[in-house]
Amino acid sequence: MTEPISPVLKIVEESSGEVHYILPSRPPQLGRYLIGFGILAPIALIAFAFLGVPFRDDAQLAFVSTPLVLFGLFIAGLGLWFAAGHVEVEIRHGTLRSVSCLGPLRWSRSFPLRSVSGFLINDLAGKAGRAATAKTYKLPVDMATLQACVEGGKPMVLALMYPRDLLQRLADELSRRRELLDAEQPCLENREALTERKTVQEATRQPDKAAEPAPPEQSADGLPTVPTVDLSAKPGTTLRHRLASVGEHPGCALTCVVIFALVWCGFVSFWGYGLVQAHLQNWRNAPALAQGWLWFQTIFFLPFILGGVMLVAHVLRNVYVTLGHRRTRVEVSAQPLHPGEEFEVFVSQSGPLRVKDLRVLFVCQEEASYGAGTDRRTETRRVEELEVARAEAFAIARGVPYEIKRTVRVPVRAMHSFEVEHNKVRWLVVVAGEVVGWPKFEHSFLVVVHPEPGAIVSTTRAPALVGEGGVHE
Amino acid sequence: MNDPSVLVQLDGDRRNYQPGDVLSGAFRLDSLGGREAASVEVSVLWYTEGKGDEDKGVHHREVLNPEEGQLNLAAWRPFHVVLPRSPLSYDGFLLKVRWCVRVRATITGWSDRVAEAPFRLGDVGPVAETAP
Repeated sequence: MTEPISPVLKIVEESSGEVHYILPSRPPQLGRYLIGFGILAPIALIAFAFLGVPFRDDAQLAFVSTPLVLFGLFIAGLGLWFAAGHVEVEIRHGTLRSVSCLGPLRWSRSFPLRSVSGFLINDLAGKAGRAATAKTYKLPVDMATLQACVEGGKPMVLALMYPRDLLQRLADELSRRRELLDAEQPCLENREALTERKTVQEATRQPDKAAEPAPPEQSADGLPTVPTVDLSAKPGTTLRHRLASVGEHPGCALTCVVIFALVWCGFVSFWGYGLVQAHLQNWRNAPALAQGWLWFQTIFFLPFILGGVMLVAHVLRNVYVTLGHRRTRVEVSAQPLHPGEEFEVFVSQSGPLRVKDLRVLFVCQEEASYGAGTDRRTETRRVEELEVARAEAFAIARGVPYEIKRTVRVPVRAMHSFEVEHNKVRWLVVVAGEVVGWPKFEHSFLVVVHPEPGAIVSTTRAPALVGEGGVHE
Repeated sequence: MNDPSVLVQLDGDRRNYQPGDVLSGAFRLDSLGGREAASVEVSVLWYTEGKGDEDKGVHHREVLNPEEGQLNLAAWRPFHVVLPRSPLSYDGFLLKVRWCVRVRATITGWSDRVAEAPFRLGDVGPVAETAP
């Protein structure tokens, strides 16, 4: 065992190069509060409910109390984990591993140390942070979280709810270890070098089993960062290529929403039934305290009804999105496309629908994703929009789809399709419409635009005008 | 005595290239003053700028270790690289794609010295925002 960097932080260094950092148990107060809350809160809630609503049978009582008990067990388990568990951080064969230990139970996560660009220490924010700073709770005021910033991914939590000073020392030590690892390969000492090394490694070896940031996609025809055309996609019936829609999984969304709505509405119905029964049968003869509690519960219950109504509306909307729009099919005559190239696009919109407005667009869209705290956000912006077709106020009969075929030209100096981890330039065929009595809809279909073929062009050529793309019937 | 520095220039001070063109230029270290360069790295790379997190890719990288050979880094040292077909330089609203030649020298007793020579690859036109 080497000299500890903190009296409470043990470091075990093996002859094989493995290093284990064993953090102590957390300050017990927080865990105790959580355990206490997890046990007492369900008991109190069930007792109040029992006083306020005369349950008709044991099943009704069990139905109401089971979620409360499960919630309490979860909170108490969390408290037990905080109070009795500890964290170990390991470096082994170039892999950084964080292990949460609770007795014989161990839960770990790992990633390559070289993919770590730095370490973050976040102070507790919000309610927990304010509670920690209140002296009455006797919690340490400097509790924090240690996170590892992983290239191309979200920050990974290494140690949660420990004193900041301890985490700072651990972060310094881990940074030192990472630099030692980097020093084994000269000229590579920062984020740029890391990216470059990945590029070199990509050509020379298989990637590590542990998750590394995805390298920029490369197509088979030597076009780095340009996505390949999905040759496994279905062929078209009218034109050569049938396009896949982007970002739409309405069936999955509908299933999830329906299940959640059923559970929610079932719970609310059962609860509401009990309240109605209580109002009808006993409230006039009940003591004043019980009557007050009953009315309190009734008012407390109203937002749950509102939530149920909103869920039902959401289900109906999803049903409409999944089933009501009918099928939209888009096909193109060529893929990949190139700047200045003409191609045919075919759109088939099934009915029955009463359409107020239907537009087919050829769109270039930028997408940028960025980290905001622990969240990732994606912003999109259209930078080119070419109207391929437009039709207003017409009806599509069942079995007779609305079909349209146009010739479109990719703008001459257009940017090619570009896809890397955080940034994208996408070309899309967009079918947007308004249907009588329903909200607007929009379906996007991805097409791939490559740079000009051959591409060795004189630099002295006259620049063409932007937006020279066009549409011909 | 001046601080050590890296100088990099593209032949003919050219700034626009097409895919498949040969990018050529030279670099040298200045004001070394008897210090030794542990390594010099020449990279031709692209990177993104803009709203999203940065992406980066290296098209070509060459590492010179002066200790391994008789290199005179105070003299202009040429480089030649055939440029790829993509990604082309791009000036968008949310993202921009930039290309540059970057020379990084690790000099004993000093922090790394870096010099860049930006250039454009391809002839993609400017964009015009059409819709949010």
